[in-house]
Amino acid sequence: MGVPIVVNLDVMLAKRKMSSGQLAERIGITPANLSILKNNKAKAIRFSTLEQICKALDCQPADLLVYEEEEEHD
Amino acid sequence: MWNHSKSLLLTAVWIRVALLAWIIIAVALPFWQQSRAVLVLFYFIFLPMLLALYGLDRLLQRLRRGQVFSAENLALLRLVSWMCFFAAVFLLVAACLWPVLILGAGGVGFLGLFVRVVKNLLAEAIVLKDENDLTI
Repeated sequence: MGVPIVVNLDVMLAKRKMSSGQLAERIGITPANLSILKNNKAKAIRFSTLEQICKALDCQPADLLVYEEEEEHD
Repeated sequence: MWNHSKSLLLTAVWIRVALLAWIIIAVALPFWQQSRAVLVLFYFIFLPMLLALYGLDRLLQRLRRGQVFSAENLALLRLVSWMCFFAAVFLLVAACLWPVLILGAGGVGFLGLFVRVVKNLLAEAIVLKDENDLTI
């Protein structure tokens, strides 16, 4: 059903020892929107948001986004 | 000054007036119309039109509360369009007796189609809004 792109934001946050609230504040989006992103409820991510997250967490987009093949249902 | 909320209020008032008038006509008709055929036709059309007006009233109340892009509104528009189609079919059948009713059937049928197109439009808008809301 959902999008097969998974956002591994919590892994990166843990590596950088940063809380969601801190990240939301640093990149200037609401905690509610960040939570949508973290819980893989988002349908799309703006390049500007991705850029801000990469800058704040000092990482690459590939560290955050993972493509997971969906299971085939007959 | 004229504004959006006053316009909504005016539409809501018109719909309530139409609802009231429709009910008054339904109650009063047997007193001044003796023809059984006319009465039967009227009461066949009465219910779909009443439901359509009720649907429009509910829709307007939701719009006034700011609930625009919702599945309930889609369901209400669907109800209104189907009720128009039902009324159009009854009028078409009655046109066998009074050919002039073909005009009424055409009018109500066109209205049903129009509401349906608006419903499809709203469905697309809901998808777009959903997509936009979930773009971070």
